[in-house]
Amino acid sequence: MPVGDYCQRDVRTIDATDTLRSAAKRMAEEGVGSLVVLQGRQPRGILTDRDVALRVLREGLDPDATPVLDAIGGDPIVIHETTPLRAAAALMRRCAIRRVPVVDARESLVGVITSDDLLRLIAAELSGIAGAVAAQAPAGTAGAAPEPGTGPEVE
Amino acid sequence: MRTRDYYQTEVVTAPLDATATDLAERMGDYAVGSVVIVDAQRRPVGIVTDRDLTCRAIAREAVPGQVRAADLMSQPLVTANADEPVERIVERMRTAAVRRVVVLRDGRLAGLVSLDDLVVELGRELDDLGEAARRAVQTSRRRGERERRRAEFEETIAELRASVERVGRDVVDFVTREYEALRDRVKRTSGSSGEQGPKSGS
Repeated sequence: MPVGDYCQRDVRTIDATDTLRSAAKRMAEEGVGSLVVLQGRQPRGILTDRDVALRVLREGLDPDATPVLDAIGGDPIVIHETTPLRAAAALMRRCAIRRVPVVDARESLVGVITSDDLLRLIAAELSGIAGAVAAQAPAGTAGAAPEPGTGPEVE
Repeated sequence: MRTRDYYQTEVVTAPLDATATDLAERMGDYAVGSVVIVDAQRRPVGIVTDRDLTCRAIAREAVPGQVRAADLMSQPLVTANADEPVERIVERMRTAAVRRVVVLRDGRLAGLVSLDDLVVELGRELDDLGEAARRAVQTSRRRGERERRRAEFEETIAELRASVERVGRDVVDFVTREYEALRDRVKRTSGSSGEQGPKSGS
């Protein structure tokens, strides 16, 4: 299950030199919580609505003079489209982030994978598993104790 | 599963006249994404998220020190009772398209339950389930191993018994043969002496 098959391809982006004010307006108009910051075709990071709020209102950055590149972290965290989904979850955990830009072999942006996407996939899998469990239970015994000798022993 | 098992009881609050700057400071200081706005009687009346600050204050070019919580907050609050089943809260989050629900007890602010809290809790439960499944598999593997060993042992014992019997039969056969051979010899010996008989004087 490569990330590239499951990421969102319709991604809102913003140029690294655009201001925080224009980012805020884009977020409000387009109803999104984050924008991928691009330099050319290459992602330099992700700017969230929270970043904008705290940088401007708490740290006092001038929203009309600060380029978005100055409001995001240093080294961009990206994931290649061929990477397995499991590794995406591990990366999010390790870096404590919820959104990762997905890139191709030339490091160009192809999409974004979010923890919500992964959650949806897990939920679908779980629902499949729950269906299999329900199908195996004889009618009317869902949740009942297994018959003697059929359940796993507990030591 | 009741909501009271999931919500956080420490909720960051602010009065209706808190400015956008005050709210951002609270969000940063307490590392939260939302502040519950309370009236003079400390009754919860609205909520402001970090997103609201960006979309309703910064995007609209409001002056941060002048725009107030009352202008920025979302109303009416999506609320839950502490004793409600958690499934109903999830349903309410879905229909209202919100990620946070304010928990009330007797009409007063008791806590806040977020979708993230529920995911964390669900993750823990899934983790427990996964561990239970792993142990069950291990146990049944161990049981399978024990049964296989027992079967092997019984097979060995059967083989051993068979070979003991075979050896025993061989020994009996040997002894029988030896005995019969001895008897024949004895018979022959006594027979020939009989034929020879007492010698007449010659």
